[in-house]
Amino acid sequence: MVISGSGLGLRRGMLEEMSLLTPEQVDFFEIAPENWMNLGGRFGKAFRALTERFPFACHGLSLSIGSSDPLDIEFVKAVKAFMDTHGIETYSEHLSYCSHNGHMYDLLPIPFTQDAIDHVVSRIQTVQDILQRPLILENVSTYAKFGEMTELEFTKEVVKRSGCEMLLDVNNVFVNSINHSYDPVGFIKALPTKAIHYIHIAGHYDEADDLKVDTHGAPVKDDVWSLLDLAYEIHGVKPTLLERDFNFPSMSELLGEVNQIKDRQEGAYV
Amino acid sequence: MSDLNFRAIQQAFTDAIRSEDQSDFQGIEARRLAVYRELFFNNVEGFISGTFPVLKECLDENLWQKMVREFFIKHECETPYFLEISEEFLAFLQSEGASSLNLPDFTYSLAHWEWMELFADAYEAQTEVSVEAIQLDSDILTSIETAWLQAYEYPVHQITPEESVEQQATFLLVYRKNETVNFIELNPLSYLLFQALQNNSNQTITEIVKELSATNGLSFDQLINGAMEIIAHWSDLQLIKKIHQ
Repeated sequence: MVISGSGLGLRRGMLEEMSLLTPEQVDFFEIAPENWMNLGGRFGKAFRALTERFPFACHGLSLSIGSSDPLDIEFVKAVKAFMDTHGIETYSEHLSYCSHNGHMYDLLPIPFTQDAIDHVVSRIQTVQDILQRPLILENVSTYAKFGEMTELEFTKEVVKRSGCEMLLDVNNVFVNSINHSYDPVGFIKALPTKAIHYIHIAGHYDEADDLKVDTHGAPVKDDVWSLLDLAYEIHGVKPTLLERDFNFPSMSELLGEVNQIKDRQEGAYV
Repeated sequence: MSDLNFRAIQQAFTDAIRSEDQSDFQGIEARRLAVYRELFFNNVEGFISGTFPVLKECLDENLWQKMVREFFIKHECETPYFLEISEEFLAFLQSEGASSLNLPDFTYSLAHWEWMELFADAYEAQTEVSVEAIQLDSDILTSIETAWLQAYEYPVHQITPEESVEQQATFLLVYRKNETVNFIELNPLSYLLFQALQNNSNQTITEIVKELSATNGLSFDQLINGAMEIIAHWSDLQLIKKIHQ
């Protein structure tokens, strides 16, 4: 099933509550395949019941597309088999790396250099050949920057050369625009419209005026909602997912934010 | 660092994130590097404390932090799957990296037991539990797929922060039924009996007990009644099933 409308990240910790949701409340769910592959018992059962009722997107964490470690081909094949089993069409990952001499299980900033582009593009093509579809890569939040290019130059070049698509995370654009002093509006406007497959929105943590951390542990801020409106205006309405990984509010509060996405999608001037 | 290739930058940056040495890193503000150091270490600590809560309570806080830090720095995790980070941690506990930490002797046994609980809960079974009636005297029997035997050097199921335990061979049978994980403590003979059932492909209970009595220097008559009784109990719990020849 293909994703559309507004979605929510499925969490094992909220599985019981989330299993009670209806397609009127949430259009699609997103999961990290690394947390749901090879999973039986009560979790596997609840997951299968949900995939029969809702479209799903896989949003991976361990691919490590920008890593110097070898690409884990067996893992990519296992992701493909998992998606085929559950009828999942969408697989997104991060324009990032999360391993160096072993997995580190969180996202690191790829140096924005020409040799990194060559490396990433070649690995994206390998993954796309196995998955038989374009890889969708998310712009990630970063707190340090390496390399001579800007994030925008690097991202556009990777998309252009690899034929990959983008998961536009508007919160990450906001966070990075503060952390690395650039114009978030200009960044979103400059992205190629046809490459944007879907959108993420989330809350962040204010470490300092000039340093924001992408925690997914707070409500979405007004500045970020404005960037979502802008993204719809520039690139058209795309399926959009609310990410929340920590400090879970009540289900009604979460659904309130999902409904805000719906309202903005319906009200978008396109 | 702009004159370096991206691999060299990645090497230097990941070294700095893993490092215990909190000194500055060329070209990056200390507070920004600190964000990465905290995010990464707390993330790994969260996985480990989530899977091994009893071990965490049993260890002194400083020792716990030191152990997780050592795991984060020294152990090269191969698995892309988050639930399997716990298996990487078990491998670390058995490696040289952990040997210098002076951990309590029961650490590995307890950690393995806590992992076993998680493993049993999430295990992806290929077959459903059979509810078919069993003839104890004639059927060829084996264990169900969601039953696991474990032998430990400590009574791991009794360890609490308040209660220190003495070394003592401990046999536990963990099983999942109706999506709930349970366990039974076994004596050494019932452990061997269940193990024989797990490995069984063509023997009747009488044949299995004959072999057990011979290898353990016990008389068949001494064993058979007790064996039948405990197998009937396992049958009631649906831990064993018939093999169709």
